[in-house]
This record gives sequence, C-alpha cells and structure tokens, in this order.
Amino acid sequence: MRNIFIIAANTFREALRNKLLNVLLLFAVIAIASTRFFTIFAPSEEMKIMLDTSLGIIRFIGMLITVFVTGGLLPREMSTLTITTILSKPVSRTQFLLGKFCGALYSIFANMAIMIVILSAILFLKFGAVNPEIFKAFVLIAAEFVVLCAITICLSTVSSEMFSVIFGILIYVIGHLTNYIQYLADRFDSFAMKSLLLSLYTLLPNFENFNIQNAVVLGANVSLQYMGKALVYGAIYTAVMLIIGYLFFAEREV
Amino acid sequence: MIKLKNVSKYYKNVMGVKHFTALDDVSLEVKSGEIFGLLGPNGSGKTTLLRLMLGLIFPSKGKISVLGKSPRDVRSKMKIGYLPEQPYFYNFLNPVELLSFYGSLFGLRSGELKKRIPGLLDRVGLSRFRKMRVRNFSKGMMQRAGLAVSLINDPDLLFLDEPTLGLDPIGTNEVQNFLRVLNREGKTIFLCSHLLSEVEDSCSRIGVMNKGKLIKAGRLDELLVAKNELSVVMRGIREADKEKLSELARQSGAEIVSVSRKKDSLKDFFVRAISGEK
Repeated sequence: MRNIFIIAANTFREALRNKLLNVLLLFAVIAIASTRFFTIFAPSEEMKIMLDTSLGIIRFIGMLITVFVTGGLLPREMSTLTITTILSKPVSRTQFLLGKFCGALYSIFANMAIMIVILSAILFLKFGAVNPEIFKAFVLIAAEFVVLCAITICLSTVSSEMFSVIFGILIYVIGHLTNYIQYLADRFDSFAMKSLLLSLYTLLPNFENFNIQNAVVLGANVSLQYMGKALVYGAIYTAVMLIIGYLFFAEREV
Repeated sequence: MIKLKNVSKYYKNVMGVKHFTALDDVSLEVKSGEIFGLLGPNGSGKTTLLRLMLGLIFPSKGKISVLGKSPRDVRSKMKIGYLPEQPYFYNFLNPVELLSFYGSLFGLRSGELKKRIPGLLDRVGLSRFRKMRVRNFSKGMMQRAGLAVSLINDPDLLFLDEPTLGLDPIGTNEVQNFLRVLNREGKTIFLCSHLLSEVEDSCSRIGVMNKGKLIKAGRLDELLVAKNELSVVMRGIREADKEKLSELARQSGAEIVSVSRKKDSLKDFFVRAISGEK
C-alpha cells in the first residue's frame, strides 16, 4: 500500500511540471473569470449563463487535463525506461499501475480544485452566496474524470501516448452520446446492426449519468439517491477498467 | 544465488510464429560472493538475460531462480540492486530526492535514509552535487547516481549493466575498485559488459555470449590458460641471449624466478571464442 502512495506522490510531482497542463489550467482560469463579463447582454440570466459556461469549461478543460496527464504516464515510463528502475525494486505491477492512477488523480483533482475555487469566488463576489447544489455537479464531474482516467490508463497499457489520448477523447465524446446510440439501435431493423449498436451502448461508459449541469443551472434539486447511483456506476466502471488494464500490464514486457 | 536452467527467450510476430530468438537454451549458475562477468558483442543477449533475471521480461522456456525465488516474486527484489545500461531517472529530482524515492520503495524510513544517503553519495563521488537536479547531470554523473541507487537497499546481489559506460578512465578505475570493495563486503556481483579489460580486472568467473547462446563459462584463470605452453619469467638475462632463451638460461647464470602456464589475454580469448562460433 505504501508503495502506491510513494509512486502516486512522485507522479503528481512529475505532472506539476507538465507545461501543457499549466497552459490548459491558465486558459480555464481566464475563461472562468471572464464569464462574468458575458452577462452584460442578459442581466436577468446572469447566474445561469455564468454557471452554465463555467461548468462547461471545467468539464472540457478537465477532460483534456485528464487524458493528457493519464495517456502519457505508462508510455513515457516505457520509452525512457524509468519503469525498469521501479519494477526492479520490490514493487508489484499492481502497485505501479495503481500508483500511477492515483498520481494522475491527485493532479486532476488539484487542477479541478483550482478551477472550482476560482468559480466559487467569482460567484460569491458577484451574488454574495453560492448555491450548494453546484457542489453536487462538481462531485459528479470528478467522478466522470475518475472513470475517464481509468479508461485512459487501461488504453495506455497496450498503446502509445498519442493513441491513448486520441481514444480517451473519443470515448469521452461517444460516452456522452450513448443515449443516441440506443436511439439509433431502436431505429435499425438489421439484427447485426442492432446488436452492434446495443453492444456499444452496453460496453461504452455512459458519461451522461454524471451530467447534472442543466439541473443545477436551472436550480433543480438533484437527489442524493441519484448521486449515489451515479457514483456506484462510476466506481464499478473504474474497477473494471483497472482490472482489464492490470491484466494487460501484468504480461507486458518492459 | 542465481540459477538458470535451459532458459530461452524468443519473440513471435503478429501471426504467432517465432521470428527472433534472443536467448537460446542458456544454463548458468552464479554462486554467492562471486563477481561474475557476462561478456558478449552488442546484441548477443546479455541485457535480455539480465532483464529476465529481474522479472522485467519473461522466459519463453526454462526456469530462473534468483536468491531462491522466481524473478516474478517481488520479495526476491528486496536484496537486489540494479544499475541499468544508461540509467535514466526522474530528471526533476536531485540525488538526495532520487535516493529517498528509491529507498522508500524498499520500505526504508526517513531516519534510515538520512543515515544512508550522505555515505552513499560520498562513496560514488556525488556529495558536491547533492542539490543539483538530475537533468543537469553528465553521463558519468548519471552513472554514479545509478550506482548509488543500486546500493540504497544494501543489496546482497548486484546486477550491473555496463557500469563504466560514459566514465572517463579515472572514473572507470574508481568504479572497478569500488566493485572489488563491494565484493569484499560480501556482495555478489553480476556484471554485463562488452569491455574486456573491465571484466578481466574485476571478475572471478565469466560467461561469453554470442547470438543468444552462452558459448563459454568458467573461472577466468582456467579459461585463459593456454594448453601446452609455459611462461618463463627470468631475472638478470642478457639482451643478446634472448634468442636462445631456454638454453641460455642456465649458461648465462640467470635466476629462474617462476615457471607458469602461459595465459592468453582475455581479449585474445574472446575474439577466438566469438570467431570460433562464426
């Protein structure tokens, strides 16, 4: 267990030096801060526009940070052979993979925390209070990133950095369209096509489960039961991805 | 300490057909307290063998036991040190952080690390650079850092892959002396090198690899003995009498200091072994 945290802390330190992530974070902070100026066109909708835009920015930039941090972790270790200096120590492959996963999460959450603090501060300064429902949206966005991180690290156990990043983004986008896949499957008569689409619908993550942005923006209450179901779904999907990733990584020669 | 029995490693293509044999039926034993040198030209399979013994890659056939355990067993690595060829470390760390990181993977606590690290840096000559980031290190300094990392757990068995690569002659000499000191301290050393002088100066037993096969193995002094040839060392012989050496030895009143079997240099032996294979 201790080795997982040691590797995670080292991965986090490494990620802090990633210039691309710093640029993405800076961009997100500027974009969130500038949302308060959009509202001059619709003063009555100020809160909604600010929330909607800011949550969208956090999800989009957070997604990019997640795939860029995670996609390169294993491939870079393998190309520089630093992995041989770790796996020649009493570190199991499970510990290494989980250490890298946790390190990526530290980094993703740290970046997310900065964006959340900026957004909350702006909302507080502008409206004098922050709707606590917004934090439910943050929790589910974080859960979405955990799942995406697990998918990307699973991909990176068998592929290059570029492949992992591209497919990570692709799966994220498709994962938000899975309801359309189900809709399409209903419209096809061909058994083969129907089966293919339904398999995709079942296997791909349904990221819409974590999307409560509209509800929060419109001021609706999101039940704790819904939150719980979404979090359990995320935990199961993450565990499955990590197990598949481990099965590939355990037999991978480094 | 190390036992390899009929170990082969081959790689298959995408169709599952064997298309490259990296190691072919290698059997080898290294005993406790030895400095074993594995020689071979580039691509002969030395590093593959080393990576198999560390569990970084897996054998296609055969059995490997290191410190009585399978290399897949992480517990076997508690008492192993490894210096890779051209070590590359997390370049944002300085040597103290580097050693703390790797030391903590062995379960060493900060108090123990604080005791060990200064001594180790001193031994490998990096004390002056303790605050310098590894990214600014020269090749030789990186090699020294690698050596320190391989010793952080006070291992019983050291795997060194080309340990003097990138070092100047003085650094090379220091490392070779250091290896002898470590051996005297009781550490078993498995050294991979293509530098014959390095192996000849440091090792008690050697193995020679070529094209994935272990073609020779044994004690250095036995392997280098040339059969039916004697080396005669004399003191006081006149220059003019050199031609009739054996006859004149007594006539010129020379003192015969020793008579021993003539030895080849390791270089001659190595070239002969490799060309004999071809």
